[in-house]
Amino acid sequence: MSKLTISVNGKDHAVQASPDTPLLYVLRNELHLHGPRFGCGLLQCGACTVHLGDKAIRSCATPVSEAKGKPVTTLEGLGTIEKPHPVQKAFIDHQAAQCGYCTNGMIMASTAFLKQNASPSEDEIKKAMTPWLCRCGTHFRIVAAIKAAAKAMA
Amino acid sequence: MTDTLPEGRRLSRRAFLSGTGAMIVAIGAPRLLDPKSAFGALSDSQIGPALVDPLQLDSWIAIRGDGTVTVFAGKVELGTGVMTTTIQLVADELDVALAKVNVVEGDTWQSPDQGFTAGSQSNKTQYALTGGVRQAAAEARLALLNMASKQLGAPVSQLTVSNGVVSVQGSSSTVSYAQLIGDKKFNLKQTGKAVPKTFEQYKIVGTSVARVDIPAKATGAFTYTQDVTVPGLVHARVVRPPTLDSQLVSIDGWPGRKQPAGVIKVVYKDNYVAVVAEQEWQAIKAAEALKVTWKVVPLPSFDDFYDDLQNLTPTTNRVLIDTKDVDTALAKAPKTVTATYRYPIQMHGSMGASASTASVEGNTATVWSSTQGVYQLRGAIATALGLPAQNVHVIYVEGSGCYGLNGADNVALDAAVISQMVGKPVRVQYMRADEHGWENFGQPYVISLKGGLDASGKVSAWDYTAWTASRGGRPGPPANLASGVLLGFPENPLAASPPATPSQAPNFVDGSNSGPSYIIPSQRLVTHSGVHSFMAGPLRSPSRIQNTFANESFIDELAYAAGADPVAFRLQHLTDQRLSDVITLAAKMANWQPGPAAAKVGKGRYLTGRGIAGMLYEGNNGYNAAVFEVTVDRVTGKVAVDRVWSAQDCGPALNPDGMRAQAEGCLMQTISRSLIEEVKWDPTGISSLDWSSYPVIRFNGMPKTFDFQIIDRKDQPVWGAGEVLITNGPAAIANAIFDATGVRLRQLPFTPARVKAALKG
Repeated sequence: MSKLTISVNGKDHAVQASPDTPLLYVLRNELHLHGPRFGCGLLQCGACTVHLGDKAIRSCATPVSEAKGKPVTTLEGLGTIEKPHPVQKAFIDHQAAQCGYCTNGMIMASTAFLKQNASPSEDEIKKAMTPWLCRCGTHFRIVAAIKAAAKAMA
Repeated sequence: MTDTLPEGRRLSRRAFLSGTGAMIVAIGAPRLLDPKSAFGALSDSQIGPALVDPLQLDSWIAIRGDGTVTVFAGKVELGTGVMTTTIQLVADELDVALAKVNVVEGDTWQSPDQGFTAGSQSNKTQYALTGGVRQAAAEARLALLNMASKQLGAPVSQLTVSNGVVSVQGSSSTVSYAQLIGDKKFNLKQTGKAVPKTFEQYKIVGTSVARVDIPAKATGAFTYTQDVTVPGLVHARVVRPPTLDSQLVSIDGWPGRKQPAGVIKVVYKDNYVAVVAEQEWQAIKAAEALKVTWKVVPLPSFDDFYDDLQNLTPTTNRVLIDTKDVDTALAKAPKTVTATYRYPIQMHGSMGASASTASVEGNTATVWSSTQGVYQLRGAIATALGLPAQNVHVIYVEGSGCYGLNGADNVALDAAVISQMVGKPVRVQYMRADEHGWENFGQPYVISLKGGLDASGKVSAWDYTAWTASRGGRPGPPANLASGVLLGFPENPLAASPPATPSQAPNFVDGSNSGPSYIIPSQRLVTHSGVHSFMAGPLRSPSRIQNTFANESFIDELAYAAGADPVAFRLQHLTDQRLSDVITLAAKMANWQPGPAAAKVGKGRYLTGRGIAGMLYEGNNGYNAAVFEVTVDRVTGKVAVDRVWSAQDCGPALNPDGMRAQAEGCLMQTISRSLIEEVKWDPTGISSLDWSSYPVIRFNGMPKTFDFQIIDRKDQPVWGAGEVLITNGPAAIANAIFDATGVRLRQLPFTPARVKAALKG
């Protein structure tokens, strides 16, 4: 157990964790950020996605020590109910959630993706999002939301 | 540290274990008077009411001093939008703004017992004329109008309500609901005299109101069961044996190293083992590294599974229909068709591995769970803890989408039992393999069908025999769940065979869609069920998807044998106009070209075909028909669903966009279950333990287009929309593959290997 300082959503936090602790557990249990979610712990589903710098990473298998010196952004850091990020707003407008357990991964992944490709085609969206799993079958709405978000941010 | 559940809605209940010890409040003490709210009771009482009396209006609805309305619902939000349709209903009945309605769902101390939230029954139940929220809201409105009438000195007939304010027509005198009764109880028994509004009168019901939970879900402000924490919480992980019937020999600790940091205790009983630690990561690592020796009881053969299923000694035999003339009719038929269909074990596979937090203190327990039945889970936990049911407070908090009996109940049982064993509040989070390998799987089926065609090409006889197996099921008994079995609780035998009193009338459709929806004069339907090695439970469209796969494939096979068009052939055998209507509409949407299937099988690598399926779900819970267009890659055997057209009739459409969302979800899941999903195992255990060994559909498997139309029937009762389209998928896809290739697939899933083998013949 050691002391570490990590920067999350624009604030520095001193946390107590062994360096091998996956970032996910530090975010959820120490900082009480519940946007990132535990789905598999195996890099297979993407429910735990956060941004490390500009990159969408899977926090369930990223040791907290890797977050040293790089800013972490979680779903909470993108926007709020009152002031949602354009991607969050598009997901809300398109009702792109059922149980919503995957929504964190979908929004964090697509936000990072849209920085790489600002006006993707539908096929590019589907290809980029295939590593993220949704079990309720909200795919149609997620694709539509990402398209709308790209437009809104253009 | 406390958790506030989503802002402004429902559940702003605080985690309440303030550590001040138990203050026992008399049973039946007022629960709803404090404006701090419905949840006030949690902070100062340890034993709940004996009964949340469904006959009492206060059990359903409370009007707050701030003009908000709280509904206490026994049907919970599983991610399907039921909370929103419940809010629509109450806002419309009471004439209050949508934003003023909150829902407290699934709480054994606060909400009436409405059974399980399952079987696409929620809206059907809440919108029924009696027995659910619609009746309660109408009763509340009547009571409020009677009060207003006295207060305003005007007859009820002259009162109107807008935004929770009652006015007298042609006068400026008004009184609000909050002024009439805010924070006070109605103290009324439901009279049964209040008449709910009609669907023509509703203004909010029937519109696509946005889901109330999505903004919080999209911003990280939502609290799932996985997020519930209480002060002093410790973390546990279960340590499962290789197979369910294996026996614990010894717990050998962590040989060669000292006890890992943070470990509080290794708890065990019978064949049940779990590790408790201060921090979550400590619990994960310690549980992974713990050495446990098991005497492994192997699983039966995977390869012989379907044969074993048919040869299983059945514990339950049911004759559903026997017109007593099937053998004669088949013998007389100029043409007969026989086919056997096989449906694998599939899993719910929830995105979020299940979790639960529980606190057992002395003789009381509080359990936060995403169960589909708080009362039924309460029974299981009370038995496991040795407490009276009344002392167990089960609080529903939404989890990952469940689609039936996923790991939610099992993990709640774990949390409660471990909390009792360590004397601390405990959060148990399943790892992926715990969820995948230990949930109650969907039931496998073998269904054998024989059919006869008469000289005119109509179906004269239908002979159905099904074999299935299960073990466990929903709570009640703890051993209906894997952890209950491991803890040594007795398992319930399956129901004994009922006396053979079959319906002698054909075309009786039971709740399991065992029989076809078609008018066939001679019918015999027999089912055999037995016990097998795998825990089983309802999985979205339980038994109905399996039966519909067989029945709607077989009607296509009969149509082909008769040289008939699959759509026309179905319509010829139907008298149910609403079913005919959805089939006709789906065919029209797809621009269906009449003619026998597989009339034009191409010669190239990629073959395209279309198939249809339609049914009345559960015999009384929604019509759907769907046309699927597939492309089969003859080289790889890969099947892709390209385009889908579907028509649906669930009575009045309560929220058309929500209904469409359910149809979309059904579509993705039914493609997944038809093409990909099958639980696998070897003698040493379940091998489908993650998303690579049990893959499901992803974005790259989406159809290109999905056209969906609703037949909105405001004059009919509300039926469920959550499980209809999914039920048609396997047969519609099998029928489309046949149309494309001329080859009939009768075993799910239609994997590339299986399709390729079938094409080679």
